[in-house]
Amino acid sequence: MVTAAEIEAGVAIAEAIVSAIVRVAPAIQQGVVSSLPYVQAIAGLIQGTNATQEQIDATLAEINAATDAFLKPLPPDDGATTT
Amino acid sequence: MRKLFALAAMICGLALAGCQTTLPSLNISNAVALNTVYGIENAYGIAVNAANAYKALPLCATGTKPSATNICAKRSVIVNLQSAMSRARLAVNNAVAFQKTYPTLDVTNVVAAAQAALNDVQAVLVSGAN
Repeated sequence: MVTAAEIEAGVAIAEAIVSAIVRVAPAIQQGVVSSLPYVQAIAGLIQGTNATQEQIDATLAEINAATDAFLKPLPPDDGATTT
Repeated sequence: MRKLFALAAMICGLALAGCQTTLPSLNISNAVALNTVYGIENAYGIAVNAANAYKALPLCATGTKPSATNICAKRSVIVNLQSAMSRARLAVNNAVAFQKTYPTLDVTNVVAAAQAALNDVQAVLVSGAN
């Protein structure tokens, strides 16, 4: 069970992350919307819903696909985006 | 509203991933192991979505920094994130595989490895704004 103190600790780090990247509204909004199923799943766990092996397997397939997309290389740097 | 939702998402994810120092009783039942692995999976899902959102931004021009008026992603941060995310993916997949192969064994070690990898992802994401 997640305790209040652990959530408070999470808030501090979450605020840092959110303040750092949420300003980039369109992309972040897209990211937040696509995170909804994960948030709902975590909320369910906190409320006492037990996970099944089928859920775990399905979620793993989703996150691996999302990771594949992220790991695609960036376009080559022509010197204009070296930062 | 968007900020609040994003914050709630991060809180839930972080509470089950990087910020949780004491895990639930992990070695007493298969249900707990399933829940623990599912929790870390979903926290990872939030992290990879944040990473994809960051990568979707235009790249910062050479010599510039991201700011409220210069919304962009640093190439160097994305490259670092790709490395961290690759390690996190491996750790999460290992945790799931371990839980499936040994459903009655303690998953503490594999989950801790996944949490550590997610902490690295989190640190790189934070560095993106600096």
